[in-house]
Amino acid sequence: MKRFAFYGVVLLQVLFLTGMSISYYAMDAFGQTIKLETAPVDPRDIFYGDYVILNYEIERIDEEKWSGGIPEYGEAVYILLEESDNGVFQVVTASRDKMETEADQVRMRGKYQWHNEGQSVHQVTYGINRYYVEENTGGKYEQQRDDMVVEVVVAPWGQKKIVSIK
Amino acid sequence: MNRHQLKNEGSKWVEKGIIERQQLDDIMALYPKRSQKPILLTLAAIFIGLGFLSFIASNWGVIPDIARMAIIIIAMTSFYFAGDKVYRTRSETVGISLLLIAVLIFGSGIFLTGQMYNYTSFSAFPFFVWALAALLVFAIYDERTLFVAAIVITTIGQVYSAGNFSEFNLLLGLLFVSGFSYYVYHRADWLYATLFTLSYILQAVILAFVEHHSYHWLLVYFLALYLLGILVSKQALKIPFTKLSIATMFILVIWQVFFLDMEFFTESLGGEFFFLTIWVVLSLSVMVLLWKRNHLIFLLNLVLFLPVFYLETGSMVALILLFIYSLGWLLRGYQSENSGIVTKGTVAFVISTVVAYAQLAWDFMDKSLFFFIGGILLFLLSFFLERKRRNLSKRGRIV
Repeated sequence: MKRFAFYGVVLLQVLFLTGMSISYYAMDAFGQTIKLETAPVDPRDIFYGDYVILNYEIERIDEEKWSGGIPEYGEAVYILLEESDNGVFQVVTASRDKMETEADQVRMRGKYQWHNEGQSVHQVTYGINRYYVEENTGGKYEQQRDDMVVEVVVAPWGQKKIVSIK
Repeated sequence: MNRHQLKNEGSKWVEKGIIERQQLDDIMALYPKRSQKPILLTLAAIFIGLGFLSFIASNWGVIPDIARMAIIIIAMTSFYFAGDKVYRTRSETVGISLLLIAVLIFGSGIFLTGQMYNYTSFSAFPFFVWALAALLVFAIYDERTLFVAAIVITTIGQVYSAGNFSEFNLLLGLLFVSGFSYYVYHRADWLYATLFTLSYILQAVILAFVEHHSYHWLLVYFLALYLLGILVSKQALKIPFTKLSIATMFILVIWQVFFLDMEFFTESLGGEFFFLTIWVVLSLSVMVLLWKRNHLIFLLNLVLFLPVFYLETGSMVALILLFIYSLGWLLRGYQSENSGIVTKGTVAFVISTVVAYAQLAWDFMDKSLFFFIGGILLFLLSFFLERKRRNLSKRGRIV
């Protein structure tokens, strides 16, 4: 019995790690690639040792694009995105409810942050604010800072990953 | 056949009725445990592991992702299997060290994989998976080292969740309450109980500040812990549960003395009906239990749990509670001539005096005078209390 449990526990751990890896590659096959514009980062120093901090335009949502009640900090929210003329995805609408997507729209799941009344925007986060890079290669991102275009893959099961930064 | 195998085989003979348990014990006594040198072996294993790790780390950048995954998984499984094998056949200590390394590789594997693939994480979920794995490994081997590792991972995960996501991770909380408590209760090991209590207190603090945004729920959490301590009959659990909950509550009352003065803290306090109901039920249960067991003196502990923040003069009342508690135990110590209780009362009384002095005299006294007079006060106090204590000892009741 104990033997069996031991093999089971080790197997589960191996499966979990490989699962993480497989779902990453599966995203390439099943996910949709979208382009997102970065926003200025505060503080300006975006490079933190082994990762780059990225902020996105779609994280700041205009008040008029918000539908329904205002969530609390940390609550799950859903945002519909649509491709604009220059190929970059922009916010169509955002809400606490899981809205249906129309054709060529993409639904992203995020977490509500706060209401910026001064600028009339709602701040959300998608959890893709860190891009890990090899040591000592972060410098090249320093020059571009806030006008980069980031390619992100969104999987049907909600997972997201950064593919490239330009 | 080594000692371990002999024991295993012997147990089977006992089960089959070939020999008696006593005979097996006599046989085992013929083969005393060899004094092993597990420390050296453990160090050797750690050194090899570290060398391997630093080699991988320095070349990590040039290794392709798939190969990295393979390295992590192969390293983890080899440590698991080696650890298991060594544990069963050679040395339990070395085996456990290897298993511990495997658990750590799994944890770092999760984070390395996440980093490698730029995984997004909204919660301390990776810590939950890691803690769950550690708990399961502990469940198989039932060794203290593994328990310590598992509960430390859980607690760090909760702190990480509070620090990074400002939330109490429910999964980790559930794992703690349903998984760890089972082993704490059934093993009745003082180390497990102490670690469990400390983790409970820390998680309660996180829950109160991150989720409730107010400290007053701590009263209920600590009171529940105290009640649990009274309820359990196993000494190994009773002592950490009651002592640590009282000690933490004592600190919280000191905290109240200073902070109930500030409007910032009192504003957020909700005197909800819900909170009050739970508090009353818990307090009554404690009282009834103490009364039934004729331990009414312990009501002195309950004094600390009073919700003084309801009062306008909460800060002052909290200070008075500190004195009721410490003087109460001091007098009880003299009355029952028990030096342990006298020491407890003395320490609590000295702390209460320092708190009172700081709270009352800090504002309107010259700072050098403040410390000077405070020092003299403490000196006199310690002189007086120490003389009392020695008188008690001289009478020969206490050594």
